[in-house]
Amino acid sequence: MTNRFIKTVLSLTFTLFLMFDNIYALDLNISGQNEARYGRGKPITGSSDDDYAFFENYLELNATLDDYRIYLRQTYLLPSVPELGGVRQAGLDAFDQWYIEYAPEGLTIRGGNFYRTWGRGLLFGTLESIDLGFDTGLQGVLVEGYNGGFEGAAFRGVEIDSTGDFREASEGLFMSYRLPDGLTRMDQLRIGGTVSRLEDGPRHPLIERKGVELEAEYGSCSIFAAYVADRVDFDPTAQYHNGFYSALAYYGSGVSVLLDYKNYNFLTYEDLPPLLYPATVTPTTTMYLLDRHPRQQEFRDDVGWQLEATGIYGDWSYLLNFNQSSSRENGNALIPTLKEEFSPYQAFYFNIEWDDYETHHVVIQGGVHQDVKFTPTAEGGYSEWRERIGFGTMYDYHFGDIYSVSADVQLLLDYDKGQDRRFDDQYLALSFSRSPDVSLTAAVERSNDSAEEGGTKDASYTYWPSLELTYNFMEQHQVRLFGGHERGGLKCTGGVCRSVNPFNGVKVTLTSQF
Amino acid sequence: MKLKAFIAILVALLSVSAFAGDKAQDFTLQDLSGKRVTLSKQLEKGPALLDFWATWCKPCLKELPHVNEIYKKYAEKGLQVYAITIDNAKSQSRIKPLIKGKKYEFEVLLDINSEVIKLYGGKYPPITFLIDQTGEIVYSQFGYTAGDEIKLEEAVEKLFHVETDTLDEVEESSEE
Repeated sequence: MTNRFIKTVLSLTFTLFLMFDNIYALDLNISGQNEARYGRGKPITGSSDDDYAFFENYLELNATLDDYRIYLRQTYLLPSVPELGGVRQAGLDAFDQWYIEYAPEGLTIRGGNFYRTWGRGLLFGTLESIDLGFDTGLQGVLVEGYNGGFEGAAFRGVEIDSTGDFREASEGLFMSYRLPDGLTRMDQLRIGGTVSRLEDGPRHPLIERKGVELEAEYGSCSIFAAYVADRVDFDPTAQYHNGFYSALAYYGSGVSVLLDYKNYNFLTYEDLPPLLYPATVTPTTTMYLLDRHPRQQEFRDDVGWQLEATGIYGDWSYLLNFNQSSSRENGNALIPTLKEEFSPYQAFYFNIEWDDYETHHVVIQGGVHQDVKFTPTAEGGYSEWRERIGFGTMYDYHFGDIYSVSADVQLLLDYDKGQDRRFDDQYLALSFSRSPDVSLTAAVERSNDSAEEGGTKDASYTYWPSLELTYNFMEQHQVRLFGGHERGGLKCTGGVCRSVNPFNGVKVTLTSQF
Repeated sequence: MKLKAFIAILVALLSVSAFAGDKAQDFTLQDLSGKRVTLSKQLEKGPALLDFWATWCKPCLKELPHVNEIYKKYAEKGLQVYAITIDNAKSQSRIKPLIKGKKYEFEVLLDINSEVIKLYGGKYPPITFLIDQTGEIVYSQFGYTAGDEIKLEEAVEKLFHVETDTLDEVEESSEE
């Protein structure tokens, strides 16, 4: 059966659903979302692409009838938004994402696209982000179910690749059992495991993977641990790899402490080992300038830990985080090292808030991180060594029930030790909001990093001024107007980052839920 | 051409009817203790407030204390609050410490594959839905700006008044 045939059958089924719903008044429930993005910008120096106009439309539809469900997504790129180093895509894909599902209580049988995460992404992990152009999902058949404390899933599918060049097949099994209450002294105890097989293809050879996980809670403490081992078949030889992740947490009265630990020893395929999306153990802050600079090396062959405390005291709340990681030493490292040849990273973040829940809300946040990326060479190797110190404050003032103004000020001091360069980034945003419909933000960002592209320049700084208006109307529509200069570089959403081109122009985004 | 296509889609979408009044899509998700929660079964106990959020979402973290206050105020009347997180593997270990550390009392559900948020026509949190006992969406809110919590509380207040009035009418008619 070709993909085209499946899509035709799906669209016909969806249409029949609608027809029968009208004729026989079935209990059909339809929901969805459409996002249309239009933009027109001026070319940025250094870019080979001189047409910055783009139009993208994403339509997603869900139709549910009793235990049956159909999901369809249509993507329309005419062409896509310009991306740094990426290929601009154009054209219509009738249904680039779809599934049809039968899901009575305790059982799900699905054909089409699916994303699943087991063992916090270490045993098996797929995800998709349209915004970030990131998709490690599968297309195939998934059967999963649960009964009492038992939970299980089996799948077979092909790895998704937006270019369509790679279609490696995968299959796997997941089983988990949660012990009944009272059987042990634990408040909760669950054990699980996976077995998966990733067939050989253009991106990777045959990989066989096995993993186990454990989750337990006792009083105010909880622990999660997962271990995975894989065998990579480089016919006639094979390589073996493994990874371990654990999270230990304590919950007190108004304070909690988390200790995360990772020890990953994986072979890399492009950026990530396929169908793994393990925890990073380095947090995403909510401070924009610091988020632009995550650790240069992650996931592949490293060991690390983070200690995070979260708490509340009256109208005050806080978050403190310290984390450290480095490459593994000949595969035997248990704790991170600060030796330069192991690309060490260490960071400290804090976020302190005061909120009277009526008029004032103040946030003070900051952090410092040191990041070394070591590249071995025949002569010994060289390091890219960066130190960044960030500080910021946000203030919201709420008046007259529906009006509020806010200010967000951030400063980042950046030291590039390798090239002995120091520069600073500054960010200021002022917003006015009228609940629930209007939000207007004027922002200006500047940097004296001479390597920056785009923006407007004076003798020492590059500036990115912008204005953004968001308007919600008729309860389910939102229109967002952006005008001005947008800084290029790393944009992070949900802990996943990608490089984007600097942009100078106007963008309109219309999002509708129905 | 691009602009015309954009305008055509804009016009088409504006003709779509409003969200409120639609039936809520049913779902089953696990809570932080691994227990499965099915919306349709929970609605038998009373109305429900669904709030989609994530640990990395700045406006969500601003909204959650207000959602908690609403829960504390209306829980006795029968309001159920489900804060549905779309945190994935990268940040999943931070959910429970954040909830416990900030003393939030509402129930947290895990939508780690972001499937339920899509079912509700959403992509980016925060998104909030108030669902009455018949399963009808009576209020929805996309995003969060200061003051939205007042509208949300008004909607909750209105829902309970309407439900109380309806019950009174039923009682009166049965007495007659």
